[in-house]
Amino acid sequence: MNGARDIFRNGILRQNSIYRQVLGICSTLAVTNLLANTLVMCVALVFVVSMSSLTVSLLRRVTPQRIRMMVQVMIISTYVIVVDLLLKAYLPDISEQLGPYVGLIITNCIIMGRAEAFAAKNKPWPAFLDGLAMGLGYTMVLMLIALVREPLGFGTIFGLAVLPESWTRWAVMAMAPGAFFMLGIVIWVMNLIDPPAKEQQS
Amino acid sequence: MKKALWSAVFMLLLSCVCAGVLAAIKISTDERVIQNEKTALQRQVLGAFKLPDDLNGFDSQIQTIAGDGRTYWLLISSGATAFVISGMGFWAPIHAVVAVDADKTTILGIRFFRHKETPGLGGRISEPWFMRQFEGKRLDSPIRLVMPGGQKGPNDVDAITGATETSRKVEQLVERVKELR
Repeated sequence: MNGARDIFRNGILRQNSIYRQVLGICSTLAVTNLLANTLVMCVALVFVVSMSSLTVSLLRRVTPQRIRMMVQVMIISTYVIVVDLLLKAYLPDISEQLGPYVGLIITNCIIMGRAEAFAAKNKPWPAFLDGLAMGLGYTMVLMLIALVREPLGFGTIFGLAVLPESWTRWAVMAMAPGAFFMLGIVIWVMNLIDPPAKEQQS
Repeated sequence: MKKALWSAVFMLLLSCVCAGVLAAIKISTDERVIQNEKTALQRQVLGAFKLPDDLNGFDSQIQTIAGDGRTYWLLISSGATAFVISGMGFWAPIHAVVAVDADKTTILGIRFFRHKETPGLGGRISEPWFMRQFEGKRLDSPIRLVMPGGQKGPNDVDAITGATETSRKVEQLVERVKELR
């Protein structure tokens, strides 16, 4: 059984879902122009990925093999709708701004990927930690991208003005293409710092 | 055969559990969601009337009148009214609350809310500097959005650089105030 240390190392760095596996890019492009929105999105994703991994793992012995993917989608979408309902009730402004992207967590490949690749084969506690680690890896990269995009695109950090009024806003940073540039840079830099293990030739 | 049956039963049971959980949360948050929507709209109305952002004073200062399938708000002290206007934006509809003075000739204030204009470009319509420009504009002549820095008449407002289409849609939206006032 993998130790917790390995699980976190894998989830956050070695197999980081964004810059190593390049999964979950839709939300990376869509929500990272404001830090506050990004943070809420990341918290939502961490909750969904860790809880659905835990649930998939708990049910792994009783789940019939042939319908396991349907079961996984059902579990994931239940948690996503829970998050969506809670955001609407308690953080209506942010819920309005995130729009459809909370609902689209259902289709985020990270979650189903972890359910299928890890949770379905491992005990509940490691599965929960794996989900947590993957979610934190996602959070780290998204917050980093947002930390560049928000000041350049809006002149603010968490909505507080940090650049002078005369600052010319980079409209491209406020829009999805800005995230493409930032994502490319992140992948490049991380490949320099921590080169991926050579893939085995099959 | 037995396996297939178990699959069906398992899925059915799981569906019931999931649906039950969601229904419970939905029911317990419903009231709050409706209240949120109501207060969000009331804050826009306060903004359009240029009143302080204090919901406690809402009912004592403003009368909410629902009728003809439309709601409007009457500012008791001056007879000014506010109502919601909606129209197509660049990506999706733009909704705004507009307040007009008692004889319905001048815009008191406008608040754009719920729109999906491009962030940083058209999305700037809900920034205070842009909305403030409409205060005091007359409704008996056209209100035009013109290029910032160019020739500007008394009834013109600055458009948003880089958001030509949004500016044009806002012009059309404001035009609708005249039909609805």
